[in-house]
Amino acid sequence: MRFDELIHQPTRLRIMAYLTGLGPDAAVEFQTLRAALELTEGNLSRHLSKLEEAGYVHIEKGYEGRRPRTWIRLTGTGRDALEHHLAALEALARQARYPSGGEAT
Amino acid sequence: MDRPPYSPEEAAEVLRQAEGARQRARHPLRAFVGQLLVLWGLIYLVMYGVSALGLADPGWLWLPAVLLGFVASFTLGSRIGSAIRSPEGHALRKTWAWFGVVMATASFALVLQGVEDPLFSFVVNLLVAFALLQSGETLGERGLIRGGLLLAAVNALFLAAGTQAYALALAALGLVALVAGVIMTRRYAV
Repeated sequence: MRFDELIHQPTRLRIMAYLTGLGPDAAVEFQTLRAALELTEGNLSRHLSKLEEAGYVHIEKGYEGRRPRTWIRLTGTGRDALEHHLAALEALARQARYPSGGEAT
Repeated sequence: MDRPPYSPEEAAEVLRQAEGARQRARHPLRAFVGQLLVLWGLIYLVMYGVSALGLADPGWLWLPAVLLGFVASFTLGSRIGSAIRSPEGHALRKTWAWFGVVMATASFALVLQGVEDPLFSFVVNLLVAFALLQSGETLGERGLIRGGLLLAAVNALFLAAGTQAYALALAALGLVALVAGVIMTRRYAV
């Protein structure tokens, strides 16, 4: 059971989970992500920077017409890290469902 | 981090929150589908409703209504394209762009041959049903697949029932789409 220290933080876990829900190779615009997770711009930016440093997300800045846009995409490394973290969480949560250590048949 | 940072109960709660966030990623897409259902449901309800009640023959009024619908649909589509970029979204844009080409070609040929309703509408709605099924498969949205199948079935079943009965059935389908669209738009509002 190995937890990821970076994804352990609840907001970062929600960001990663949201990005997984978009499907492979999909990207979300910064403001859409901010609104969906009900975060402030500063808060989201800080968490994204940490995830980007770890190589878990890819951030792309560009323009759409004249408007500046920021796109966020989960990387393969990020997807693997999230899967491992969720698997560890699931193993732990099973203990809540089956406290004796056995599983339902 | 080898020592568990949560209790088993907390882990279960965190998993629920993660699943909630994952599900939320589909909301913009579902809200978009809801908006399209409202738009086209309204167009079908009004246009076929007018025909079914014998108030007027919509005839050429279909052209501006459909053009308006297409412009509004692509405007809504470009809005979601600004929010989320995905291979599925790209495939969806291509599907409906080609649908527009096929629809224009079919309509041109049918008008040239003097084909009238309900046969004209039957061909058009068959193409719409196929595009809905294709979109549903691309996005993995069962609602779109069910909608496409329902349209194909109603379209085929009521073809032989005469112009007014056909129009009434399609108007009813428009109402169903409108109600479903309102529910989806409210449920998945971003």
